[in-house]
Amino acid sequence: MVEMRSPLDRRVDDLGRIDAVEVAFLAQVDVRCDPAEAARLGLPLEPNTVDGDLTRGALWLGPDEWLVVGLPGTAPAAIDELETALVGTHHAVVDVSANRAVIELRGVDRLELLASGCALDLDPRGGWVPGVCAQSLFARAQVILQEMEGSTRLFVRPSFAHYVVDRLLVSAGA
Amino acid sequence: MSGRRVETGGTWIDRSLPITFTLDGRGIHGFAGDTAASALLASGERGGFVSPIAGRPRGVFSAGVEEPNAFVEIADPWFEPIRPATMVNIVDGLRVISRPGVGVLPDEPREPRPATHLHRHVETLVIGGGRSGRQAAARADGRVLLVDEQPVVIEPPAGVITLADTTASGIYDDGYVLCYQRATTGDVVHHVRARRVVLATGAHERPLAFAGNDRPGVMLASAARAYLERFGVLVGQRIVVFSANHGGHDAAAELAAAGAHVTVVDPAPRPGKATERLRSAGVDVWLNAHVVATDGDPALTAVTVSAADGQRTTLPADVLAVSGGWNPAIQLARGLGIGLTYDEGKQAFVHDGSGPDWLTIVGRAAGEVPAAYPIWVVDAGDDEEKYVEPQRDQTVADVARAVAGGLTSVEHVKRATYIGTTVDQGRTSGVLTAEVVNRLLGWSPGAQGPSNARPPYTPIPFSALAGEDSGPTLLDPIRVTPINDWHDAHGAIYENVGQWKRPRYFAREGEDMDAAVARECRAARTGVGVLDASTLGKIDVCGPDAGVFLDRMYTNRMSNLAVGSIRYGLMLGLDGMVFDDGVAMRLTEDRYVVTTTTGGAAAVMDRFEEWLQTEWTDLRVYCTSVTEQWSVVAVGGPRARDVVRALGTDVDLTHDAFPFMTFRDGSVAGVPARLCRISFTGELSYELHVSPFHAGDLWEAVMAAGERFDITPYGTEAMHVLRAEKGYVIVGQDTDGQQTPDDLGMSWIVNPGKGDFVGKRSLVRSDSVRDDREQLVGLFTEDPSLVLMEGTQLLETAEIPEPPAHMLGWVTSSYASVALGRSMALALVERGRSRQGGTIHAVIGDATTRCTVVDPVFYDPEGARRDG
Amino acid sequence: MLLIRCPWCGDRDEIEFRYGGQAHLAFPDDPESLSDEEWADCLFMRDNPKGPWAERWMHASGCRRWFNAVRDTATYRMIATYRIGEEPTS
Repeated sequence: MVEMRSPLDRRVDDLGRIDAVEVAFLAQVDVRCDPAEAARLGLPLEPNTVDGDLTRGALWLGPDEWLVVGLPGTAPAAIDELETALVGTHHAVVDVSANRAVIELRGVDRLELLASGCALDLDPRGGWVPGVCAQSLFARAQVILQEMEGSTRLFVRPSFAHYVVDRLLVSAGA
Repeated sequence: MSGRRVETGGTWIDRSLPITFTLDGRGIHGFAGDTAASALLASGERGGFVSPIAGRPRGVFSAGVEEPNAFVEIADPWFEPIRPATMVNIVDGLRVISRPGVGVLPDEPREPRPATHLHRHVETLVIGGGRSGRQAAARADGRVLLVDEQPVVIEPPAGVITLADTTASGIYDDGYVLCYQRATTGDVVHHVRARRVVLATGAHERPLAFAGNDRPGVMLASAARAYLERFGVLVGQRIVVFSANHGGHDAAAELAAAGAHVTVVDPAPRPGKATERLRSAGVDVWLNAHVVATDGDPALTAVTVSAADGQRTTLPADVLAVSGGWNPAIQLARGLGIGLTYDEGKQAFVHDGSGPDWLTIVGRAAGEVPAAYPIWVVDAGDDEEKYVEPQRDQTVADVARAVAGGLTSVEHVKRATYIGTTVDQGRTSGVLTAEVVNRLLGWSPGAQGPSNARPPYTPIPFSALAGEDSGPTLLDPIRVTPINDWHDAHGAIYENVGQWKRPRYFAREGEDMDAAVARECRAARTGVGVLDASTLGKIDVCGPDAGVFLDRMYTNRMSNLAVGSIRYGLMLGLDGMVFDDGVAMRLTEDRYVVTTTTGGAAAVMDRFEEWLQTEWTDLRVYCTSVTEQWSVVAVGGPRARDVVRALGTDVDLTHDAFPFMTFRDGSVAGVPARLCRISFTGELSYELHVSPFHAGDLWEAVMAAGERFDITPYGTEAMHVLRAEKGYVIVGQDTDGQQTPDDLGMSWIVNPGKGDFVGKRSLVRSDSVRDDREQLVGLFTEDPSLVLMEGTQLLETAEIPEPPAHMLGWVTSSYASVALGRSMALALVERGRSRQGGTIHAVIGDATTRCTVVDPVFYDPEGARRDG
Repeated sequence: MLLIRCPWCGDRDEIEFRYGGQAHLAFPDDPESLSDEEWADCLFMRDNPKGPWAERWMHASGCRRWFNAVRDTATYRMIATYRIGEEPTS
């Protein structure tokens, strides 16, 4: 029997040194549809915002693109639900659950650590508060950042995940 | 020089913390807060500094970044090839070596100071922690950052983040400022994005040019003052102050109050405000007088003064403190293209108000400097002895020679004399030189100003700019697939494919690359091989117009591809040249997954979106990247079906049920999988597309299932050989953006009957149909064991002609082929197809070797092997 | 490092974007009807003014949208950004 392995399952200790964990196997579904349909589905229309919670949230990625994130194992059900809701309209619902690894940073200094490689204004005074997200660069990796209460999620292609962890470790001096 | 530490005072030093360091092997005592220069002066020494070109003895000239003379290498406790001694804070274990303005790289690489990056967003950035800077910071709204290049900022304002030892290195577009912070805990390069930037960088004192002005003991008056105030160091006992402005006079008063015997030489004819004060303090003031010569052995011992009546007097002196005036330090703003205007009262170039509206200049940097008497050069004496740029040993005479040679612009004089191309970037020489040039040309003062300033403001190590993003793993991301652990554990030798590490071959005991690749190729054609093909780009294309869209992007038709089938496609640029290739799989009526080359994935995705967003907005298509949603294990060879069967699958693998270029969704080894019959080797081949979460274990299952068939993992090198034997091109290897499909012998893939597609019009441009275009052919070298180097140039003749020689083309791919039992190559050759069977010549060094032009499909041209 | 205002994401560093050349180029409806010279003109010839100029950018590391911009080619100042199909507002 073949087992499931997550991209960073070997890096638990390293992630611990920067107060971070991998959130493995999250359901991730890329949804593309017209903004009018998105409004009907409750997807966020305001750029770079998140609607929902830890069990199911939707991140704005573009005027006609969202990343729906849910608990592990819920992707097939989410896809069914979204396909049904969007039937008859021009849309795309694609399982991308393996397409990005998810790192959750929990330390109080996490935003300053991210600022070692990310040029976004990661300051509440600059608008970086729970409920916002952004696609940007962390050093040389494209990432999606999502701010939550007390933690920040970083979505990155699995092939860049080790690099991102290595870079965070060096910047943290850990 | 006979400098000494005075009893009390020195706002920057802590006398309770003594520190000893070595300069050129000699121990020097100082205190925490001292610089190497201040401690050196306090010890009464001058250091062994010399000029870089003429080797003239020199001494400390300034107290800051404008230092032209006193440079040191820091050898311990870290390495820096060169830094002004005035900007080296002494620490325990410090070992410095005097250097003549040029650093020396060590024989063995030394670890640089570690540095990290930090992005910051602020509403206001204030550069300069003097009085005007602190005031501006205190008054500013929002997030405020204050930086100062010096180690001490007194009374930092509340609510403001203040960083000392932090140099603003450059101000760039839209308030982007690079600030370099030196800290014992690790340097930080701050990338500051500020809505408003306030430049409060002060002014640099300007020296005067007179005979003998480069002697050790001659320094800026403000430096003498700074050494006293900051470090409690009285730089000399008998000080002559040659000053054309009251800044120098103020320095004289303080030096006298500290106990030095001070004489002021003032070229102004009439007494100023300071004159009476100085005289009543016991300071001798000479008006309408000039310093015309210095004497020493080589350090200063005497100064010759010419009085109003021309009478000359020689005064004993160990320090000659000079102040010609003040230059606002606006180099950082000049990099933004601001204009300068000349202030005649101050003999200074100030900002003319132009430039970005987010930049403000305040304080002395804005021109709030003392008025100065208009003098730059003392006429008496030999111009060959009047230095304008000590760090290049350039004098007034050198400038005169440049002007006599026809140069009128200071920018040209700079390049001819190297004045200003110095570590201090002309801080003491720039304005002085400009005024010398103006005067020589008979132009008025201020006619032209100093040469342009550009970042970095002061030298910044490359290692700091690199920060964390350096070294073998962090210079550029290293991307690996989920199967990489297995490759690592089984002798994989990697090659870089873009940012990916892909196994190039798997070396067994005692094998070199050639042997390993030969073994892998043999196995792939006679038994079964397995390749990790996960890196290929994959794009989900979905919508009612998906087929129409793909018809426009590829040269062939995709809209009539049957569901469940796969078709190879070629993509061109608008110029008709091959851009990328891949296969399209039709999942449903409205949905395809297309693959791209590993290196082309991002570019193809970008171009899909570009056409859909900017040109074909009416097409109902959505593209989603799924490159890392799937991992791909390619099992290929005559025994491939046996292996997949042994893995366990619910897919019917019989040929009729599962033909070539179709796919089936099902499972292998108990995990969901898409099986695709695609072959890049020409052998029977199954690509297993699975979730990356299963990929590592699936690979192991494949190896286990294949063990009894002697399954052989192979890498990119064997893959390249196998596909080349079949004449399959690799975009980017056999193409360089200048080949049409016909050039590659691939006219068959261009569908002339369908509608417009990207590149179609360009295929009929006269240049695209020239009969002398380079065409893809195969080559066999005369010696079958000779493997040509890729890139080898090809000639019509055996003799190499005189240059310019007309090249027929070049070798694009070249290998030793096990299947053919000899070497083979692919090449792009002028009129290649018409040369079939003919001979051309490959250039190797100074000689050539004969090659026969052959069909580029070397092996199994009928394609009989692909069904196993 | 220019600061570019993506019409959706707001101000971002230049490094997040890909440059797309001249804006408002009308792609010919019928390339087949153009002569080689006319086609080469479409493919290869672009304006090169000194001063404000309309060009395209794509937010490559962000929302991945294409948009237009008016930028001064002499000073690099970004004057306006606006969505495909819209007019510049300033």
